[in-house]
Amino acid sequence: MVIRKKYSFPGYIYIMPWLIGFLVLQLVPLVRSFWYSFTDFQLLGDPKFVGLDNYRKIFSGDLSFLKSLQVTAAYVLIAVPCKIAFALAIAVILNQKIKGINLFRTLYYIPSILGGSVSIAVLWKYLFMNQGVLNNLLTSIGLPGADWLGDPNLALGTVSLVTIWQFGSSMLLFLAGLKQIPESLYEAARIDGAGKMRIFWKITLPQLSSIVLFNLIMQMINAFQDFTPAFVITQGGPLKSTYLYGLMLYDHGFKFFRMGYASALSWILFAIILFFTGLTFKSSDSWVHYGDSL
Amino acid sequence: MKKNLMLFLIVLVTMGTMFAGGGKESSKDSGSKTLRVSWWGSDSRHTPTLNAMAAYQRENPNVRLEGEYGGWDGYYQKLVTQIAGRTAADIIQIDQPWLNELSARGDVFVVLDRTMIDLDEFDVDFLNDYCTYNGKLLGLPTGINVNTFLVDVTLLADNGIDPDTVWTWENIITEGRKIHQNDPAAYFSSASPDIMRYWFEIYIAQLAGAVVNSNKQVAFTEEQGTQAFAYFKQWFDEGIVAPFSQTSLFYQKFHENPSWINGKTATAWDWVSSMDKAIGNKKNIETRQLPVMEGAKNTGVLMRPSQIMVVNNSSVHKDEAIKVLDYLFTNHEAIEILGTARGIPATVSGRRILAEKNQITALAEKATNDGIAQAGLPQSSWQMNSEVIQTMQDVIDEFGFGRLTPQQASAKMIANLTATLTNL
Amino acid sequence: MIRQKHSFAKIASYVLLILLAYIMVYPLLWMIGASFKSNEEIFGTLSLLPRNPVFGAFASGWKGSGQYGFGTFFINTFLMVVPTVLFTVFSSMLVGYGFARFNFPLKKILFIVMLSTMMLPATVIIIPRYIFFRELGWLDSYLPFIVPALLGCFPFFNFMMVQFFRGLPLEIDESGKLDGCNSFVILKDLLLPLCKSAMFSVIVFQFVWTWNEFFNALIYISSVAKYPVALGLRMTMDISAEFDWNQIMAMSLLSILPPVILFFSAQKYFVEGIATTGMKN
Repeated sequence: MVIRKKYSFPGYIYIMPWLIGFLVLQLVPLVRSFWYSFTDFQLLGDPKFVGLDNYRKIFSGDLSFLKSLQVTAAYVLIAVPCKIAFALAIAVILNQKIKGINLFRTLYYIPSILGGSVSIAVLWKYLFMNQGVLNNLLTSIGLPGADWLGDPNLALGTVSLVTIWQFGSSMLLFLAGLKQIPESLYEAARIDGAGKMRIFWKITLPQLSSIVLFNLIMQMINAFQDFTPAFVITQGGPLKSTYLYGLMLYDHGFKFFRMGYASALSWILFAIILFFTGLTFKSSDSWVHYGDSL
Repeated sequence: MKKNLMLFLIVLVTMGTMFAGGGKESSKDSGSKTLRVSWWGSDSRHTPTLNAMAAYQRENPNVRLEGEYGGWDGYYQKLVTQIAGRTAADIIQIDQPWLNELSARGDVFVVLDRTMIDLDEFDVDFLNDYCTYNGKLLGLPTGINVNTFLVDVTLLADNGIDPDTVWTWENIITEGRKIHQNDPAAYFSSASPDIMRYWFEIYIAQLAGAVVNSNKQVAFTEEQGTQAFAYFKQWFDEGIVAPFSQTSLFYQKFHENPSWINGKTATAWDWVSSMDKAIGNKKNIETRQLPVMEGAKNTGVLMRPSQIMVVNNSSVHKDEAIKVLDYLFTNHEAIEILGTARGIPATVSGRRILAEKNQITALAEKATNDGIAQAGLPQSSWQMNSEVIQTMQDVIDEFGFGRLTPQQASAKMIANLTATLTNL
Repeated sequence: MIRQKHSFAKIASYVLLILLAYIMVYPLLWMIGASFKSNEEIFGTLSLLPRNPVFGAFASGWKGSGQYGFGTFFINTFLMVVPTVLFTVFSSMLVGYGFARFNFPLKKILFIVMLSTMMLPATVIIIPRYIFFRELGWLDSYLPFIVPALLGCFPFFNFMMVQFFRGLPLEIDESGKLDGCNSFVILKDLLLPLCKSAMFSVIVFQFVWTWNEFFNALIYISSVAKYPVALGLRMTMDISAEFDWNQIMAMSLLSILPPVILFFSAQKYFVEGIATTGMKN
């Protein structure tokens, strides 16, 4: 990257809104919650300092911590890559000159608009329950049905489908990124006689890599903390198979009045997310190409 | 066109900012008081409550009552956040188990006594058992809520079962299994995992008095636990209830299970307060008493306030808030307006007035009376603790999914409960 | 021969797109059907179309419950969403530009700090933030949404703009500098026109997310008169009492209209990027 020293002052001016926002709005709650993680804080009284007790308890065999960490890891591994791959594939298809592209784009974005709508919980049960739409469809073509939401081995996958189904935002970003790729690159490749797949791997994907990185990081950060789909559809069940970390935090913080403990759990998750984000950024040096470093 | 749009946006932004800043403009002129009242519910509760509040304001022109009402989702979390931030409403509707959970962590509610409210209207034991913490009365019960047993008389009769059967633990199995035998898709009883937990608590209460006693100890033995789990294993084996893999997604919502809606499930344990929701449009539902074993120590049938109304201890208008509370519970006009918006009233005159006006349905009246007649001892606050409930539920889930034998389930339940209780 | 193969691929991708589109809008179709069904039919049957249609869910749902109806809730939501969106566009543009194009001391650390504010689960921030906003006197207003937007406290968008700015060749800036433009003019006149797709995405995302915001709205807004649609939708959903799902479905449908209309009608700004403006590398 080209560095120009004389620009260093404007840099601060441009990031000033966030810098003020961080110092004034975000820092205080963050520091307070960090402090809570070393206390016994039952929400309604004052926090009592307990040192590292919360952390010690978590690491000395809190089973729900281990279970939910496991569930969350699986969720992140299923939902994030599938969502990104799906979004990318659709974006590439939609980037062709296709009639009704505006309509398709809108239709594909609708699940993301529905978001955490109250109807989703009802709908997902209707689709995936024992006598639901999917099983009906399967039995009508002679296939066996399953308890998509009731079987502890299947529920997490079914719940992840909600997340993947809401791929619209990632898709949109890929589409925006595709629009930024200079046509001249494609022309040059075609003159060289490159096939479609080769063009995708050699030009589209590298040119899109900054957006891939963005989607990867953001989806990861979100997925680690996500609990809405499990909360509204399965409430963590069956047999805790969808008991995401975020659900466990909620239980400790607001159901069991252990906000100090929940804070410690949160800072552990923070460290985990920070680690994986850092790792992704580190690796990105070798696969992300920026326009400003061409 | 573009200009108009810009203008519109600018107006919106300024309005938004102005409106946004208007958060603190509460009436501060001398003499007039503004009190906030918060509750959750559906339209059938919002409208009557607002009307009763309006009636109070007509009689007390210097008082303004503002309703802060909404659905159930998030109500508790918001309340906890508000109490932590000392911004909760002056008068608050809470669920009965929260009284202990919240009071254990601070003096969050005003202590009520006879000088403030006509307590003769209430049953003393009911107040003592459910509305006090450490011997102090902290709230008033909005209504009486009891367990009931809903039965689909048509489905029973169709399967050759006498709809008037008095249910025992034994005949639930001997009679109840006929339904699943006749139709593999039909079951005797609805049983999402949360309801199986209630059944377990009832069974243990009858065997041993309680799951967790008021001394913070597990009150049943491993043998008793094994006996209970062995009994409920028959429910799964005989097709009395559907497997958890089919019902677990209806956790806390058994009434949304198509098997129940479409008349493929014959009976359901429920609270009277929510039975209308479970019954819906069904015409063939009656209520029965729950099974009680011979020599039961405690029927385990629960009775508790539908909700409790409390006064916020950090309110600046405590006296007025108590007056409002008194009005809502004892004023005849208010009782009539409120009707059964919060269940069948817990006051003598409340029940009388609504009965005279025919505001209580025959079904609800019978279910309530049956329940009261059967009601057991109140559960200890430890048994109602949310962490204890979760501990029980987790073991019930494992058992229901066939991961634990009755012996294992009993041992695990006792071990886990003991661990949770020592941690509290 | 080649032509035929080409059109076959085209037809195949159309079929695929339409099939997928059906899966994507299926929930919407179901919701439309459900707004004409009774509770029993919603939960008890599988057909998309209502068998015994119930009408009036839209009219009675619109009235809301208690004192205020959805007219009020919609206006409220606009009052909350529009300033939030505009300020987010403004702040994310500046902050993104700052991080993407300038070098300054502590930049890397500040960037990491900015991203890390997203990594702590909201559950444990709720109470400290609530108490803090109470101290500022912002409770029961839309300021907890609007001010953070103004101050760039949505790192998602800042980071997003960074990535898009970095996707643009530095030569653009260089040419502006040669013409004697200051950095703000470069941003305003040269870079932003190439970032329309990104800005469109900021607007749409922030609009949709703030529009659907349930949890924070629930915590911060207490007066029913100030409820946004997301709270209005759930305000009759009791755990024990009966309520009509068809009204909730009907109002859910209406509530997604503004985001959908925004999305559909603003798309023409989406396509303009470096590729279509003829900017060559």
